[in-house]
Amino acid sequence: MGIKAKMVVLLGLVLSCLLLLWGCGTQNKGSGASNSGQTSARPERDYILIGRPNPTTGPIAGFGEGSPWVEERLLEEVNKDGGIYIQELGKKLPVKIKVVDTESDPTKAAEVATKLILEDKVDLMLVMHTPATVNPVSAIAERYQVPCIALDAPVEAWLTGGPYQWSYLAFWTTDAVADVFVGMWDEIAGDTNKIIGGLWANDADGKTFSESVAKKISAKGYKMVDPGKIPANTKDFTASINKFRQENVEILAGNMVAPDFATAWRQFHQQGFIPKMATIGRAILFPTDVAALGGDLPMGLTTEVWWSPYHPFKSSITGETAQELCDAWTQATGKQWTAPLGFKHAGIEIAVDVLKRAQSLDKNKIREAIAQTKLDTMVGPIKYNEKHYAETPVVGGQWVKGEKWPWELKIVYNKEHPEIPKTGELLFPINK
Amino acid sequence: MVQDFAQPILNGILLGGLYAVVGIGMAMIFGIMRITNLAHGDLMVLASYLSLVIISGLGINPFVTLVIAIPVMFFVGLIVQSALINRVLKKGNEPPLLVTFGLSIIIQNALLLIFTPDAKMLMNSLSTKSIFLTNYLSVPVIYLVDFIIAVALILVFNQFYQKTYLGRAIRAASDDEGAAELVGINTRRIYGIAMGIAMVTAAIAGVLVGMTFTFYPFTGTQYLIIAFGVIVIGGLNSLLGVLVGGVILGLAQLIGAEFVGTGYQLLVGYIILLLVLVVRPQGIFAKN
Repeated sequence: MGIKAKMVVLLGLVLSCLLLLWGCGTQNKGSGASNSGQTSARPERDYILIGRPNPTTGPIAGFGEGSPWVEERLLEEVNKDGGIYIQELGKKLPVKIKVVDTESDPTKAAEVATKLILEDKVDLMLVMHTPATVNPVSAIAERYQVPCIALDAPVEAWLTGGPYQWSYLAFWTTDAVADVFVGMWDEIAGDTNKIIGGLWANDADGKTFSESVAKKISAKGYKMVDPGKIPANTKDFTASINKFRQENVEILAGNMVAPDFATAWRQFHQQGFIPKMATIGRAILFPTDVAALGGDLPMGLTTEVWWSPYHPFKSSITGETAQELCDAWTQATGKQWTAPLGFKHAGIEIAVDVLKRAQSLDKNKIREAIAQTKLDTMVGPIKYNEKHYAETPVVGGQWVKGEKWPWELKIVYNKEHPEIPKTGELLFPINK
Repeated sequence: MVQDFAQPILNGILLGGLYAVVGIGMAMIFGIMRITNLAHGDLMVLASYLSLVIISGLGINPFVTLVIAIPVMFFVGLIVQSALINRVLKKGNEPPLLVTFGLSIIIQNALLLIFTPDAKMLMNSLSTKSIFLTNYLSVPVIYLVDFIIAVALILVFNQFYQKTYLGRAIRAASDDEGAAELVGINTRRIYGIAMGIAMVTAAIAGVLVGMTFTFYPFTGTQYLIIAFGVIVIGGLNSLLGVLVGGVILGLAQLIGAEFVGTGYQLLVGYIILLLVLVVRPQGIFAKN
């Protein structure tokens, strides 16, 4: 092979690594470039503009699905009578939203956020869906001193970019999800040997989850078998299965991306090793990911539920219930509900509430209004603490065969949030 | 102890077969045209989606969809080669590379537009079935099927390149383009056909991968990396090398995971790749 051919292979490898890394970045610490902290004056315009970076394409596009459908639908209601009255300007202004694609890439997210601020001169930033979107956009909002309402990123991961002056987050903490996991196991622990096998991804989420869970179970007599963190795109899990079999694991715990868990769970079945209970974070949030497992594989899998049609919350703007929002979504798209829908709705609720209370488009006044938010939204009550976050409730769910859809998520655990009703009893064991 | 290693070794070999199917089309194109087709993984996933569409339309077994998917992908290859790559072939090594890079991005985003980001799988009854040899040793049926098809594919193409006129013409065009043209071979057309044939293997790989794993519009790139690993280990222009390369990569990953820990599963595979690059940069089976 000649030098040239080698160069081609090398160049090819580099380019393909670039392709692979496209969506793999975890967070962007604000690319340290010149930081003027200045945004020029608000242009004269007869509407309020919200910037909304969204992962519409790329590996986490599953979260971004539903935008701008949810947002536009709600803003239509808001703007029906001319919009929001802003006292400072003495008139009503309609609210517009500009949704831009982050391509699931933190660097790109920072870039589009910068553009929204400098070119579109947005009045307010609204961002959600995983740290890969929320962290870089929050960082940019901080740099340019633009008020930023963030949702749908685990609190701990978001706080690593803090402390924040201009950004506020509403979502659950990893710690609360670990409580749900352990709480579900506690209910069935008597019928198991309390040996847990860990299937943790080798990334920020996987690591924080495994640590949170490990901390909680040690005092309760569980034992954790951790064969090592799993790198992304692992195609074979024989080593983990072997280890779990040797250690006689009866409960499977995990946090990984959907395609990797699909590979793993299929191989658990191929190799005839099925634990009594399997509780997996992140991988089985969406019905399409669950259905793609194939056959009866989804039966009885448990996971965290951050929002569902059964949550007893309703819209502060339209009074619509969670169930009604999901029904509207299904009617419009023919698709099953997903948890991000509620958060997309709540994001607009918070923004509208803030603007109504700010009575101004001055960025400082908007920021003060965000800090004072006390609102019952589609995803529960929102009230930010001194660290700029509000915890939303999380409960435990289980996938079972459904009536309307092939697989439906039942709420089977609600100890920390009894206000969210159970819709089913925990099915155990799943390996019978 | 033997029990502990039997399963990883077995799975490693069988998984290697699938890796080989993924790599074979890319190895062919590199061997023939000295082009690294960065869109190979995406074209493969394109075939997975194609099969998915046929299944949802006709409700047939994924294997049967190959009857349609193979000719369609052949023409996709033919068109990609004659409309895009042939045009830049004479302009050095980089332009064809960039063309395939662009193609990769276009395919990913087109798939996203059409099929949404949702997870897909070619549903089949094989994917969770196993043949149990002992209590601790089982052969996953889908892996076995993948492996058998890989071996068959490589034998068939080996014969094709040795025995048929077209195969020889392709090799001739690859060995010496000028001389091949002198004896009346239209090398551009031959390249088109060669890409078409590579896409036939991509169609087969796409269906197998779709039956074995979940796929998304952006899944192609990870298979590109696997294909790279396979052909670098095995040798860039050897079909037998592709099979051996696949098996070495699969074995390295699984035995590595068993020995060093799951966290190093992929790393061990790439360390083997680096070792091969250092010791025998042309690949284990490459002809000099």
